[in-house]
Amino acid sequence: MTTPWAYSPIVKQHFFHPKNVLYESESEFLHNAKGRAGNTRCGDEMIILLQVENNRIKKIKWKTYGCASAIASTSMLSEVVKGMTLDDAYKVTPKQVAEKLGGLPPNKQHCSDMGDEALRNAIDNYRPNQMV
Amino acid sequence: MIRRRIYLDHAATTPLLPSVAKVIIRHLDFFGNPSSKHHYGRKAQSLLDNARKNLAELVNARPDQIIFTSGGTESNNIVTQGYRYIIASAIEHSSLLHAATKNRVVPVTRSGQVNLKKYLQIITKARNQKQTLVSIQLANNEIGCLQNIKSLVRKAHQQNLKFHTDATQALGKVPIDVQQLDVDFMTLSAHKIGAPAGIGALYIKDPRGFKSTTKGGHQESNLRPGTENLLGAVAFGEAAKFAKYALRHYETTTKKLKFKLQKSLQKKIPHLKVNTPKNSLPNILNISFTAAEGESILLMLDKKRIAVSTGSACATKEIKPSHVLTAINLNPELSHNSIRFSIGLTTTAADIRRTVRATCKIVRKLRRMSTVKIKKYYRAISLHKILLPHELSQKITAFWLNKPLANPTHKEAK
Repeated sequence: MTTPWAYSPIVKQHFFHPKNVLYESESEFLHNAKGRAGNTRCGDEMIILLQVENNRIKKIKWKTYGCASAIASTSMLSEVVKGMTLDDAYKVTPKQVAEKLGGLPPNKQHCSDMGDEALRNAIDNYRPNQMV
Repeated sequence: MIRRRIYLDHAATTPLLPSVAKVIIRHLDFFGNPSSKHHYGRKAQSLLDNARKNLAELVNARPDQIIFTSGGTESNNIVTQGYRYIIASAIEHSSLLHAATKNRVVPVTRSGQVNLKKYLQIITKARNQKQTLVSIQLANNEIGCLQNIKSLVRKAHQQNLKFHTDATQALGKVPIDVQQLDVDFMTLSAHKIGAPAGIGALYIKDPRGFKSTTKGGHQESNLRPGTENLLGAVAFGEAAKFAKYALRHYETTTKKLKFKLQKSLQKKIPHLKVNTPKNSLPNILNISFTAAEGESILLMLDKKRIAVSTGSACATKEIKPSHVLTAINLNPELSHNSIRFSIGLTTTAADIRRTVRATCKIVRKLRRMSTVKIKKYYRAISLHKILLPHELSQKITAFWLNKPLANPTHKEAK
């Protein structure tokens, strides 16, 4: 029997079957909030797009360039905040996302931090009357 | 239907050759210390001598010039510990790079070749210094580039400097002749040629003139004390015997498979960069896929039962990407997106076809998910494919793809 992966089964699930990914271009998803975090030079970058209605996240889509942790973290984060109010979504912490994923290797903790940063960035950039 | 696993990471380690496995099984029951004077000791000594002879033949050395060690890393350490200053190339294995003296690391070109001008400057400064050793690897493990060791050795000897080469990756893949190369030391490793890990060797041109820093018994001509790993040495010897014949396979079949893999990927996947130069090992191919991260590609291929390696920092415990890719001036994005395919004796054309199909699907999926936009970039080069003759448009595409991609949505795409 082979040694199990360094990643938890939940991370594996979200990596191989990520939720709320935007496979098309950004212009094909109507959104009124967009946030970005990370840098391709460092190996991880995330974009989160929100469709907010009545101060609540109606739909969330994301794109990620990065490793398994980065993809799984953004996928899990999108599932957690979907349907939340902006205030509640703002309070979600990277630790909560990492816990829901069943933990991340120590050198991959920054992936959950980045997802959180992208989400907060998106909420800060929310323009109520501008759907693009 | 469960598909068979495809192993394309032979540069990391190789499966045991059937003949080596047979030899190990045959000698499992045997015991004897080669230093003993009775029947068991004499038999052990003769097995060791035979293994040494086979390995010496593979590199055209004398048996007394070969000492067995626990592996390539120990061989590198035995040599470097005898010198105070080490001049090494920027793409050496970490066991040598860590020993290299500051300001005596020789940069390499984009194709991984040692920068001759800097090399000459550094070795000229170190002229006649007996405490200085030059160490340049014969072939690189990540991109597979080959060095012109014969010429580098000649230049080092002109400055009265000893020369060591790490031939761990090259052994068994390309012909090695220590007389022709005229190196003073050469590191060899067993587990890259179908023998088990835990055994290696060191070629020493002048064994009597070399003083080991390790203290202990008188084994291996006082150069590497400690009871010999007899079973390991026997296995290494058997693998070396086979390697002589396998060279032909690498020169023909493996080279063709690597070429097929490269061309198929280039045909089916746009925006990739081949990091392996033309003058390289016949079995290593390193490619960067724009907008698709290396660890993600690796894990998705692993799910499809295909094993490869990556230069991405995410796949290791490091923060930075591979030092080899950084040394050949590959921009960080492409370093993170690199995959190393290393073909072996057991790789078939069907394996290559399946790998190409899987890689295409995976890269396509990751690119669709990626934040990196390459559509605009692609549009910029697509016109010339229609308007210009095929050869000219290919040259333009190659020029664009070899340009460092700091940001594919950059103004250069316009």
